[in-house]
Amino acid sequence: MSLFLHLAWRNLWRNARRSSITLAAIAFAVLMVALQDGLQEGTYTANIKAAIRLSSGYLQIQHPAYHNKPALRHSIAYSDELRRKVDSVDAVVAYAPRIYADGLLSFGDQSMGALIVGVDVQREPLVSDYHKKIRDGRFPAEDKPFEIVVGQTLLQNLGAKIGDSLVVLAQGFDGYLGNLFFTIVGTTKTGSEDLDRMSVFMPLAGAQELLGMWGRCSVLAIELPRLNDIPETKRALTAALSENQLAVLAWDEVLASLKQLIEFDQISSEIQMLLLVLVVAFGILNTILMSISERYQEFGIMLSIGMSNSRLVAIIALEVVMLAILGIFIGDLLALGLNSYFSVNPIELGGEMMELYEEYGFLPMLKSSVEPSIFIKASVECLVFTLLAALFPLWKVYKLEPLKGIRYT
Amino acid sequence: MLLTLAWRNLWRNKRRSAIIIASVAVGVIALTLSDALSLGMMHQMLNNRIGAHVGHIQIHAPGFRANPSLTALLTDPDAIQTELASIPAIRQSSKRIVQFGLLSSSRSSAGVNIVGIEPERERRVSHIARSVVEGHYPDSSKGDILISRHLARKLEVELGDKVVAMASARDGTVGSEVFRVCGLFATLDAEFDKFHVYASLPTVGSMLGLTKEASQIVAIVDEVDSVGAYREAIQSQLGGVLDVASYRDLLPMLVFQLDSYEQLIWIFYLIVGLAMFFGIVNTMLMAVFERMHEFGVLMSLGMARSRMFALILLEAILLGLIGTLTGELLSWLVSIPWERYGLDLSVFSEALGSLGVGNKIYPFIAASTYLNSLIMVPAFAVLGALYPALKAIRLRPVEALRYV
Repeated sequence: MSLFLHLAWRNLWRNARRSSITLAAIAFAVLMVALQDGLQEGTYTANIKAAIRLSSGYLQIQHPAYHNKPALRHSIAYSDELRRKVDSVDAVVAYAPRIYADGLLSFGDQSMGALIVGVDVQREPLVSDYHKKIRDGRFPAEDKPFEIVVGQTLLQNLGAKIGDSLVVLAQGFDGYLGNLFFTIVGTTKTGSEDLDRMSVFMPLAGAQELLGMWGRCSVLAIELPRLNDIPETKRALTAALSENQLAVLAWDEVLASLKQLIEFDQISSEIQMLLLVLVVAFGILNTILMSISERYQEFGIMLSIGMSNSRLVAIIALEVVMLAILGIFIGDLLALGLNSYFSVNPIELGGEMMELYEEYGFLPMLKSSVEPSIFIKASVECLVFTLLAALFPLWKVYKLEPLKGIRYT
Repeated sequence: MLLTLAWRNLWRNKRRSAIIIASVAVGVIALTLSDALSLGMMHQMLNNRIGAHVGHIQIHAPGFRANPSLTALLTDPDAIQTELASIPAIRQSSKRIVQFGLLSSSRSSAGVNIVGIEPERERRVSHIARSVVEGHYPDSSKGDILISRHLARKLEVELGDKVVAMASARDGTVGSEVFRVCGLFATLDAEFDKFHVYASLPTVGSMLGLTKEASQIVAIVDEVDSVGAYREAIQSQLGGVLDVASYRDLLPMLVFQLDSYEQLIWIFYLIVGLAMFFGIVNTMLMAVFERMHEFGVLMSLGMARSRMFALILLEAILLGLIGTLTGELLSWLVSIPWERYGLDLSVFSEALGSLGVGNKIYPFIAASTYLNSLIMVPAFAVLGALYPALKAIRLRPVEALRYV
């Protein structure tokens, strides 16, 4: 075996130029695949975390019917029992009750539709970043239930300013219309134009009063330390709440379309990368095929002095594998360098590109990741394609007859 | 002469040429088809949005687009429509009232854009009539409202159920009206569906205290590609006071996405080109070294180095061109059924729905795609042949003759 290794290694460097170019091709393919995957992985993780902190939370506890029919009727009781049970699950860092409702804001002779978000002023900052998105003014005070924060664009469209009072009109829990005065204390700029044009934030107590939802909330948003904690915590919560007829949903169930958008994007670039690897594989097939036909005479001689075809095949296969491993190693090394640079220094997008990302609800930046799985995937993918490319040339060597080899020109 | 020589050389070693041509063709197929898929998807997103609601041209009172409310209304929309009817390029126009309001059932309520339409004219400016999946499209009679299937689920209403619409009226009071759900619609854009309901213009107008005013006029033109020119023409015909916008102004982000894609696609071409380049360098290198002896003979016979250099590059160009054309031909064959029947991607229906694409993508290969690869790919083939060609002409004839 060591003789084979030795032979294969020497064969590689008999034509150093050709081997180097093939090496470069393999390294290039690995680099491209790992770079692309790294940028996707990093960007998605950052976006998922942002989406979790801006809307869903890692997990949500809901009424089982709420996800399909988000009506106030499908709200849940925010009871001591519920709090106790959620607290009993270890991984839960924090939780916050929220109320979501649609309503109409009136200021002067202007009325605008709005998405009302009622939040627990104390708990919410532990779960979401709403409090960081205040542009002017401040978040509502804890003991002032009738203070309200209005999306920046919405405030402009209403023609109101901080300090004004407006009327919020909404259909309550029991179906009747409720309306109450609220004082504007701040505006938000969330980075999502939709949220800034549509949403208002008010203390939970104010929302409960407006909607007749005393002691109730629409969802309970839950904060966890890491994305990887989701499956297990979800199981633990479901078990703890088994008697309560409540549903526990992960962020990717609450934000199903974001999840699918990511999957779709992943698959389409996966296809692009496969095509790239395929093109490289064709180049490698080409090179191996030609280098073999150049060496037919040599092979013919080896065969006629007693070497078996299968051994010859083994030597050439070893050459290919060595080349592939070396190329993959170089590619991974380069990719590791670039990926770690871009995971620390994300590419910030500006101008219209930024607006485009925000339009789809994405953070306007590209960030990379150095998850080992990225490099493993790129390496395996390129190794498999290189070996597949070698199959046909190897088969030709296997079928080679000594005399034909010697006479081949 | 050189061309004939290059052409003959290609077919002297058929297998070698065939391998290079095949690898170029695979690269071209990869480029063309993924470009076709992306272009198809983006054009669908744009066309679906235009078809569902936006139209080609919209006319508003100044200020409406910044703050869509009753403070900026077209005071005499009928006069504008008469004016528009005299412009031959405009196929159809229709007026709408748009006001954000609250729609409530006995179970729940939702914030929506209440759109008052002229039912018959609206049919010819948007797809909304064709998007009705249950019940019927509202006619001019009072009290019909068309809501999306999505909204019906949220409000927990069915066909024939009553809903109450409330919105701020022109005089500052809150106007309300009881409607009966006459039909449910579903467009390809899930986000759009959540926020739009349709009723007849007079009903919505009287609910909001309007007499003959409207919020917007939507128009469809004959030649979509010259929409910019039409916009100018309409603007000047209407006296320059009104805000005339084309879909390019109304959907700036989608248009920007399409434009920037077309500008950035060369990066993908570059990457695939580089991948091809490695294969080509190697193959050309071997091809040149195999023929060193022959080159030695040519040089001894007095062939100029520059002509030999050109000969090798010419061979590479020919290989690149043949490979590209083969790839394009194959891509074209693949794209025929795609363009006709579409690619069913319903696995991703929710994601495609929120993108406004639809379950099926109809890829199409633009003329520019063919042209791009026809220029870029042979260029990479030449780049790949550059180093081998340099190697060949640097040899001295005597050495080349002895080369084994």
